[in-house]
Amino acid sequence: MDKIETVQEGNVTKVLTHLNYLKQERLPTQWCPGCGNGIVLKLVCQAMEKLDFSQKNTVMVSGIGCSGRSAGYFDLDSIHSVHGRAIPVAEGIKNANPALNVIIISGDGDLLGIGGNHLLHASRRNTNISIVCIANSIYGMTGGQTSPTTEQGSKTLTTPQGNADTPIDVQAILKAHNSYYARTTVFHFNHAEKCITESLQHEGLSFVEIKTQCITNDGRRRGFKNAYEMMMSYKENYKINSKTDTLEHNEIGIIK
Amino acid sequence: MAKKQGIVSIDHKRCKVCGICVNMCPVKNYTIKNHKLHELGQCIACLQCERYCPDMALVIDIKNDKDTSTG
Repeated sequence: MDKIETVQEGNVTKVLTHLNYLKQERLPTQWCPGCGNGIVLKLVCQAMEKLDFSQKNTVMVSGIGCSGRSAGYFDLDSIHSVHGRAIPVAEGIKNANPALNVIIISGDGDLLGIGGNHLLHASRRNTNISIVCIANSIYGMTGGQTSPTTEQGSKTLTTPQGNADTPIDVQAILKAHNSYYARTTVFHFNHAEKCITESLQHEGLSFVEIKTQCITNDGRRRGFKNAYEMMMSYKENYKINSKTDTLEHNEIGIIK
Repeated sequence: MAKKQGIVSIDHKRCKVCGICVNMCPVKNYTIKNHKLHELGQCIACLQCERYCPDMALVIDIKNDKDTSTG
């Protein structure tokens, strides 16, 4: 069966050093083929390597959901917290030991839907933690229900005629308290890495919203054939804005 | 000016055959046969597949021939 093996395999001397932040014996991840969560994992690892974060003084917190599993893949102290309550847990860790770097990786349903109230008060308290929100615009793990970031008119499991409501304006919540907010996509790899690196350096609350594809429960209902087409739709639909202070719904950029 | 060449290593235990690299590759270096990813040896080391592989299954090494004047 293995007759067409790669010809030069074994000659590769390059080692991806940023993957040392992951428990590599746990790979492959449990996510579906084509899921963008793995790319976000890689982005966070690269940003951490760039800033020389040590594995001893970094804590990873996550909520519940597909993306909640990501904390378990890091070779760091990590907490898989209760649904929607990743931010209070992270704030508690930071207040108990301010020397730690606390990073949250969680989904949009967890951070903005179930734990939306905690985000409001976290932005008011402005604790020095970094939030990486994997926004796939649905509740992916439970089958693809409408979430707070679902675009208007988008078909999901619970809105077969298209979503009637507008998505939540996270930007306004964080801007009201002068927190760091960045929106980016997994396709814009360098931009996303820059956003995460700056958010880890930022003093105070920082929130990075990464648009990520979910082909299994979201893309197939909206007529995409594979994960690549969804990534290309990010390329077409989102433009980088580095000039104005407010991002439109189809723009990506950083607001400080 | 010689073309850059890459050496591709595929970790078949990690690869889930999602097809992102197959579509992303500008020289169509990958193909899927019998639910397994194969590499055809035309890599130009653009590193797009390594960057966008969600399962960290691909590592591309740039082949050094003779001209290593830059480093």
